[in-house]
Amino acid sequence: MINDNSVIFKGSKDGLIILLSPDIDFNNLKTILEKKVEDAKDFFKDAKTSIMFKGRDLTEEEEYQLLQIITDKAQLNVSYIYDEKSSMEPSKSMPADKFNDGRIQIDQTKYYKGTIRSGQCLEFDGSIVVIGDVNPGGEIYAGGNIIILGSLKGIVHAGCKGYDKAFVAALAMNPMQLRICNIITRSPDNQAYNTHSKTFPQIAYLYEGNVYIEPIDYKLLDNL
Amino acid sequence: MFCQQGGNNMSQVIVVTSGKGGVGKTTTTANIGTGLALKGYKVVLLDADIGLRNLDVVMGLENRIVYDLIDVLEGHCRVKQALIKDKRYSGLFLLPAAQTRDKNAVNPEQMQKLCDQLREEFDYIIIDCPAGIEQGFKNAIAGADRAIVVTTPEVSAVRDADRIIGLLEASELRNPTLILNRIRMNMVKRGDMMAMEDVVEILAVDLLGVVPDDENIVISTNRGEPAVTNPDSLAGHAFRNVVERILGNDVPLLDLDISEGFMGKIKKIFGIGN
Repeated sequence: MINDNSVIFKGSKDGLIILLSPDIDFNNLKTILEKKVEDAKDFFKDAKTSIMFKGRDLTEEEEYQLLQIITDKAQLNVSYIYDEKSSMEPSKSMPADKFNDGRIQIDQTKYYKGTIRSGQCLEFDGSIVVIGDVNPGGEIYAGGNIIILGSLKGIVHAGCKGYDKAFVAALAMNPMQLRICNIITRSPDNQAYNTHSKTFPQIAYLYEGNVYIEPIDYKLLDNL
Repeated sequence: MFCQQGGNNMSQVIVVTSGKGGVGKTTTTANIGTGLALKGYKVVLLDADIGLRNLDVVMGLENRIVYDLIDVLEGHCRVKQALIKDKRYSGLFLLPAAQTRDKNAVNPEQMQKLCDQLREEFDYIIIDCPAGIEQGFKNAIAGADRAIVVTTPEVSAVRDADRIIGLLEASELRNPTLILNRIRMNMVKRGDMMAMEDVVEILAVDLLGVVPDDENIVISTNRGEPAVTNPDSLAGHAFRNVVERILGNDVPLLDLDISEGFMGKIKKIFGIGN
């Protein structure tokens, strides 16, 4: 085998992810895939799953060829093929790949329209965008980023599966508690209970074990 | 019957209950707990109102919650991890309720076990009971040694308190004591409000204290600072007396007539008051 890591199989809750190396010749890739599928034939037998190809730009023809190999060699019943946004260049998006090694997918985003009230809880492995407020006692847990298009007054946990590059952005940042990765911060004590002071958009991120909250500007975004 | 400091095998589990909502259970729990902590006892406040927790807000500790009661009972964390140390008084701790679950997530056996576990650490375990007589009530009273029933001088609240006392007795929690909350002496004098004698006569239980209606309670609740620490608050004074009585000291009932105001005193002098 030339390079064993040029084709990697990965399970996710949405199905099978096949990571393809962008660096080797397509025909070579086909042979490697063929061999790998052959090896795992018994494992795949008669399974029904959806497949995502990752790591390399494929033409429709190429994708079809790879799929042919998989279905032929493994009697795998492929129900659905999904791909990352094809405009994205997977080969160059190192952070996303690194991220996927941690089995978290921030490239998926859940949108929620409405107010998260006390006792309500929103959980998602990817990122969450709330179009509305998060009231005190409301909770949001995301594997990725959290963006609140409204006032954040509840508890949020971005990067809750261990992703330390996660951020939290809100139009009005007054969280009761703000957690990123494994760092927990809380609001200052003796805050007036009817404060309407901070009303400009802010972003919270983790840097060297500390959570920083700053107004959103382009320089900051470049550095994130 | 009453506990001495340090003797943890003597520790007491007290449930604060009422049946009716909005009569001041949470406020009473916060004030009694803080009062006992001020006396140097080791106290934990346990919020049993799962899904509608308030005690953390009244104590001003809501932003510190990481783990809660359900996390403890389901084994997601140790008790010590869920206990929130009060920011002002050493010896005062809060075990908050979960907000995203409901009362059925807990059963009385679990609560009893938890209370017994807490006994090893604390002199007093004060449980804030939810309103109602359903699962939440059963959970809250499961581990308790004694009960404090809170009521206001309203017919509906007294009716519910009576029902609760019956249920407590059926659950082997005998001799509950009564706190009459939010009394307004000027209304009592006019005959527009039940007097404490009337309430005690109906409920036939020992009176632990009478707490006047006091604006300071609203202020202190919103600020997250129990009124018992405020030397100027009449209600705070009443709660300090309640704490003394819990400790077994004989304290006379607060003279509430001072709350009738300047005009009342003038009227009294001229004999038009009553």
